[in-house]
Amino acid sequence: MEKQMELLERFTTGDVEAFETLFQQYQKNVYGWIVRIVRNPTAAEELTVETFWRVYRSHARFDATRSFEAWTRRIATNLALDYLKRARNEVEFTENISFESPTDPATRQDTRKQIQEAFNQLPPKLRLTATLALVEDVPYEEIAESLGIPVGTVKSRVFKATRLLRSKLRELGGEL
Amino acid sequence: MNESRNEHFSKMIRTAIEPIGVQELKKDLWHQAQVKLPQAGISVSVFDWVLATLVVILSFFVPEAFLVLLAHL
Repeated sequence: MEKQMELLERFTTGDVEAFETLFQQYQKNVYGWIVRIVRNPTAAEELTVETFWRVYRSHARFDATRSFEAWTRRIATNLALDYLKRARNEVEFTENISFESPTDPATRQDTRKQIQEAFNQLPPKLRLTATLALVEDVPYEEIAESLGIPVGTVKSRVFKATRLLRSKLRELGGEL
Repeated sequence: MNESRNEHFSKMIRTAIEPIGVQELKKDLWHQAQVKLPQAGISVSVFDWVLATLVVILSFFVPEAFLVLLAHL
């Protein structure tokens, strides 16, 4: 614990070795978080590097008594959100998975495509929150911390996203 | 909206969009990050450039001032 504190203090002075140690400790965690949001391994790798680059640039502003992981995750989340904004119509959910009980495979396939299409059309902030909450099943508290917003705001965003998805699915003629 | 309806909706979404879950990073990204680091080491602020320019100009017009400056370094 003391060693970690010392490491963080060295990092705040701009020590590159300390930064490298932190990079090695947290790169998997940051990548794992970003890829769940952007759903593209190559983009997630680039955003992970960009996250750490921003972390390094802001070393003097970091308070060594606070959580490095939480701080880094917040930077990563903001970068992932910017990515979703930039590539709004490019990031698509197109995974192919089989249904557990395909009573009517054709209908199920249509519904799946409609859900993916509806998800792709959500505004980036709602899409990010809905992806983490509804798809990845991340607890609301964790999402709130990563975005730096209250849990109530996360709940409200999930509610709005759900309402938009239902409405979009109705427009597309999907089953609810 | 009742709970079972929400649950059904969430289940539908997860069936349509596969969760990524815990995904392993397949390579070390340190080398990519390192490429950006030297830029930080040699970055010089505008203030530093202005200060250096002023010293050069001062040394040109008042050469003795350069010696005074050296004495203070």
